Amino acid sequence: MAQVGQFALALSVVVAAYSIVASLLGIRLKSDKLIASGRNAAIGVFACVTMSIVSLTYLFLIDDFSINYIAEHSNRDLPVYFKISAVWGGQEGSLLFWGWLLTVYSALVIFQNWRKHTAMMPYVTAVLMSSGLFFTAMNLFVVNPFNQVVVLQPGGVNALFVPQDGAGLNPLLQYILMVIHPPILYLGFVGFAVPFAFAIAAMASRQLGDTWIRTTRRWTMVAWFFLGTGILLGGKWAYVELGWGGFWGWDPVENASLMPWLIATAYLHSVMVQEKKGMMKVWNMVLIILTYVMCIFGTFLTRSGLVSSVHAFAQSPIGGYFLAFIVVGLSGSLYLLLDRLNYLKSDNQMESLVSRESSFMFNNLILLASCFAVFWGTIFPVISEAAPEWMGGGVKVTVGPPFFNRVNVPIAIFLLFLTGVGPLLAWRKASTNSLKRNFLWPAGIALASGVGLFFLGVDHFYAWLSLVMCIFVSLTIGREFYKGARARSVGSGENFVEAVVNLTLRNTRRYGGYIVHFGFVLLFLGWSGQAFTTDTQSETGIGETITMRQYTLRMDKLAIEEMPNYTTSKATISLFENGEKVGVLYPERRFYTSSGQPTTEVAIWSTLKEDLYVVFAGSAPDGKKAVMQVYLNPLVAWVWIGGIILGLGTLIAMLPNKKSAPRTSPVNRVEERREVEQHTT
Amino acid sequence: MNNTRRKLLLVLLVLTAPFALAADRERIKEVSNNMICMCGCNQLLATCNHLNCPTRGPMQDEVAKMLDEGKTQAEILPAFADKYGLRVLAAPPTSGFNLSVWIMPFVALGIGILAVALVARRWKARSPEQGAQPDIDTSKHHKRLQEELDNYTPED
Repeated sequence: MAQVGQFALALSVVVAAYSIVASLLGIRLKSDKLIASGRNAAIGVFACVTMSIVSLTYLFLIDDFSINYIAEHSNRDLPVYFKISAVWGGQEGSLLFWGWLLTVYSALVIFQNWRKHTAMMPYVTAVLMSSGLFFTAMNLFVVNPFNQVVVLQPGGVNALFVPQDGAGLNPLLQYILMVIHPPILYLGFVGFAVPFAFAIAAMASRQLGDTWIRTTRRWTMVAWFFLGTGILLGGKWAYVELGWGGFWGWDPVENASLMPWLIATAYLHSVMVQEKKGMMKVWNMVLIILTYVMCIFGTFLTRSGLVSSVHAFAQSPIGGYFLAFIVVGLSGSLYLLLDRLNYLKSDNQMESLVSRESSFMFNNLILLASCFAVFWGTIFPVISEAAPEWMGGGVKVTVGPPFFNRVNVPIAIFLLFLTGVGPLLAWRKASTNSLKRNFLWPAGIALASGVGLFFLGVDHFYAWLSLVMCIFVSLTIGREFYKGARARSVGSGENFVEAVVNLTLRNTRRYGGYIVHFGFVLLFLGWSGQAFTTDTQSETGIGETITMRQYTLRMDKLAIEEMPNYTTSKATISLFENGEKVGVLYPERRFYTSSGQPTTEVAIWSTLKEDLYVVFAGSAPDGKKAVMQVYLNPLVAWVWIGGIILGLGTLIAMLPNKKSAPRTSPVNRVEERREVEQHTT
Repeated sequence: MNNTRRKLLLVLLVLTAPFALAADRERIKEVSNNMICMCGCNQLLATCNHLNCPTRGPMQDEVAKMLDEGKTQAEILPAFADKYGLRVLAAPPTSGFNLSVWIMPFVALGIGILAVALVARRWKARSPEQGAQPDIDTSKHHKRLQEELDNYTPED
């Protein structure tokens, strides 16, 4: 089976190269046959890489430890679902998985668009297959998942060797969210290849109208949805599995996924300006190019070991190839962009700085500034070390959470403010009256709440500001739904809830967008709570208690359990809130036999108000007590709820608009309008 | 009298000891949140949670000792940087070459604002209607139109 996988992989490299050549040559020679052949070859690449990844999965399932990658990332006792997730649990397999997803996307794009966009599709195929070629070639020549285990024999001869058992999957990855986190994140990273390919195709074919943007709008949102969900799942994994009490540590790998997400968010907003006003055409090209380049850069950061990261398990010497791919891709794209500048002139001009257009410009500016701060902070240790000594460089420094928080928190809060303001500004120019009407009450109530929050003891400035902005933005969003639903219910006789639902379904993009914004408000609410985290540590024996505010934890049992894959020290803790028993917690300390690595299994008592987060930190020197670290993390649940609402809003925004009911006559419509006005004034 | 005062003081000390300990913990945590644990985990000293970590305990003890000596965070961090190198600081100092990590994001933001202002100015200058538009608030019809536009819910 390994030979089948290896052969399919080798074939995919050849066929991908052929697909690029046939597509480009077909365009040049105006040969429909060659173009169609290039398209068929792209489908062939999908078939080959699918065969390759199916082979690898099968080899994992049958415990074929003659394959080096499997011997290093699996073992006999590993549960089946972790054996499947181990396919992408290491360098070689995850690159194969990346490449496979790309070929899946490519095939779907070809099936969906081939007849609709005949001029662009050969270019789209060539661009997608260029990425496909890079990844399959990396897998074949540099990090081959089908390499066999070899040992050095006396006399310097390599001999094949089959270990009895594998080293096992990294224990930190043996967690159910880790089964789905990487695929979802990759679906995001890889997904941006589609709008990128269309952007390049639009420039190459000089079809620079809105077609490429309208065609890729849903693809972009799908990629954005997956990337955002992947990032949040990563946060949840860190929170539950790493046991340090938080969900975001500004690790380089976290930053690597955040950067393309920030640029893609800017792009999703600025394309609206192009669609509505025919402006920012060059800028949109720049943004989608940067988004895809940052996706590759993120993969490069994760793999190369360029910067120190908790994701050290994914390092290998493939950084140089990625860097070369980034340089070639970026310079090629920018050359094409410069060459096509004349075709990308704006159709309209900006009329006022207080308008929807300008709010999008500021939104883009802030998102990119935030992205730059993350980028700069992430690569600064490398720059600092490489800088000459006379400049003060040549020193290894760390750029960690204090830097990122200090720089990004104010930027993020300003972005939250824009989230409330931007959507309510009119296109072209917002009048003073509309500004007053839209913002006076929300701003007044938010400020009054701010005073209240201060007297309630919210004395951390940024947390306070963030909470005030959360209230302001929620009110502006709520007002939009209320205004629209009331107008609908008066006109159609629907009750308010029906009116909200129909309003949303009839303009999914606008109201889905508001729901996404509300999801962000909840994320900020959760983040604000981080300013008030408290913790305590204690050595606790059977029957002893730990008290933290209204909670009392009583150690009932300490036991050691043998599991097939690991040995665990497990505590049984009764939890009391204000003296009343509310639950039982089971924090664990596991020791994985095959890899010899210990991990923490945190026990979390989660409420909307706060999380009680209990870590089994280790055993006391006498062996009779457990060292328990207890955190009280306010408002964390809102991060996950915000994430779900954000995803829901994105899905709604992707839905097609519900068709309107048959229109009434103009006379009736005037009557309806009058009725609405009478009720609204 | 002296004896009574001493007893009172002792009682007070015993009663306030947990609070003092909690305050110490908070101060140690505050300083530790600005340092990296040197065990190689790349985590903050305050959050490093490795079993039997060889450096977390001694480093936190050092912080506690310096705090007991009355040193402030501003004095403790450079002392650690002297001992372990700049890598021990969770964020680079705001001096010399390292200052650039702090100022560059804001320089970039400033350049961005300037670029947006220039583009907006150029766009406005090119706009043929500029100056010819009637004042919205003085025209009944324009006011009405503007309100309609503000309340317009496009069907997309």
